[in-house]
Amino acid sequence: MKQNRPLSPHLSVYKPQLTAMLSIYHRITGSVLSLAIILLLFFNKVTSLQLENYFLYNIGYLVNSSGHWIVLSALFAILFSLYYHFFNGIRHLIWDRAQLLEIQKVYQTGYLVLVLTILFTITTWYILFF
Amino acid sequence: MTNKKTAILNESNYWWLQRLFSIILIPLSIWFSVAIISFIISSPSEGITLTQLFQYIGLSSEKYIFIFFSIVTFLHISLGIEEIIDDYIHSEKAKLVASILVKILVIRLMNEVYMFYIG
Repeated sequence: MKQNRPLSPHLSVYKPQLTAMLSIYHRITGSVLSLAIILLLFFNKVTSLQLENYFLYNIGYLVNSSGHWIVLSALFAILFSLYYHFFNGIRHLIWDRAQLLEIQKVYQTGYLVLVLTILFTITTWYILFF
Repeated sequence: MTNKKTAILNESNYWWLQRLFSIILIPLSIWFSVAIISFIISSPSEGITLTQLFQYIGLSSEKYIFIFFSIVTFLHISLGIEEIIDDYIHSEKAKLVASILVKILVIRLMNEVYMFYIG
């Protein structure tokens, strides 16, 4: 194999831009949501069926009492991912119809997605806990 | 990833399927979120447990919409994860194994949801 071949610039070379970050976070939030579904089904099974094991009972108690900061932050991450994936997914669907593809519009809708995500996350959090 | 001669669907069909699933999921996920949040608000106790939430889904009269929602969600997840695998795993063998594992996992999860919602 030939040594010292030229490499294309690594991702860390580029300045982080809004467009690239929004794009990669669409995938990351999608993965987070699928992991969340797996975890929800797993905890549901564990906490409803395996109560005679004290370790599993403790996990179930932790999840079900829902006041622990790990559970709360996981819930917040899931909510944020859900809204982000929803709004950015709509943006991607609009792009697939070849609309709003000018660079200025891309930035505007990107900021719109961020604002809507934060707004909906905070509103839902407020509705759920206050 | 797929064998081109034997596959029923080619890659552009998968692309269209993913868009179809996401369009179906837009109204369904709004409906799902509203149903879950209104159930949590309307429950009289201080907080609700995960087990209560799943029981509510299993007993509600709209559970067939929940089932439809979960099926479309899992197909969407399956296609999405396989797209990620396609992009980031470069070895052909590892790609094949990973996509088969994803399919098995998704079928197992669908089985789990089906057991909790209907059984």
